[in-house]
Amino acid sequence: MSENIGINSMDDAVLKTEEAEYKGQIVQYMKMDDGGNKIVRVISTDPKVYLKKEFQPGKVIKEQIFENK
Amino acid sequence: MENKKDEDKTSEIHCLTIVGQIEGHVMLPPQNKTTKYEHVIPQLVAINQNDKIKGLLVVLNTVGGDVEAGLAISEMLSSLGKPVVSIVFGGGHSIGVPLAVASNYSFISPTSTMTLHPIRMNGTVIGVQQTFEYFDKMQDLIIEFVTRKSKITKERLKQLILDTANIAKDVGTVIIGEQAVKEGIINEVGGLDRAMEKLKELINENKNNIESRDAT
Repeated sequence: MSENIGINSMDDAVLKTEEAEYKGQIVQYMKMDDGGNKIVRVISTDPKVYLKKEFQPGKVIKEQIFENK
Repeated sequence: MENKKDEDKTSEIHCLTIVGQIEGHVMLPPQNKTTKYEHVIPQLVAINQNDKIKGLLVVLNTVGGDVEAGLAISEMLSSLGKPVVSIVFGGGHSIGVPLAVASNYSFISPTSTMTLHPIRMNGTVIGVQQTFEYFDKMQDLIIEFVTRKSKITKERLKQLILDTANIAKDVGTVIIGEQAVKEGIINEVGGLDRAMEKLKELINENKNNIESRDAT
């Protein structure tokens, strides 16, 4: 039983995403162990955004994800 | 400089994907894939405000979710002031039905399914007459919206929603592609290409209407 809870809580941690603005778009990203941020999903209604390389799901961003203007 | 120019350009047709569960006032656990109302509502306002955007394509693949959030998005889509075409791929269940019919013209792919069923509630339910009356009122709101935006009659929709012979151990009806069109809920069976074609057609009509109105 305790094993089950352990697995579930681990899954939750793996699935946890955060949101931030990156290059003018809202992105959902996952924090990785090495400090990088992995893009999970970009939230936009503009179909062009989905073709941009920097927003492809799985892309890892090494730098701080928040835009410094 | 080149980059800046690129950013200013926005597509003429925008696409709203409503996938997974519709997330409203209650946050869902991270295992759930959701479309959140706090994302969708401001996006719809932005689409209404941006003159460069001529039309919106709504792609639905949803299991349903928060009734109030679903109705809010549906009402916003139907009052967007720009041509909206919706297409159901995979599934448009439960509150996905009003979302699908909220557009000016709706499509369904041949393999898509839609579940029509009475509204449900999670969490603490107080067992009093008033709870039932509230459910009834909410159900009437959804039925009213769907019948207002599609060709199905109130009686037929109620009949489908309350059918007990269709789903195992549950009340409701699952309708598939062509059947949704026959029942008058969806306008046409089609794919992405056909939906885009229709949206462009509606955009042109809209443009002509504005021009003729301006001329007079």
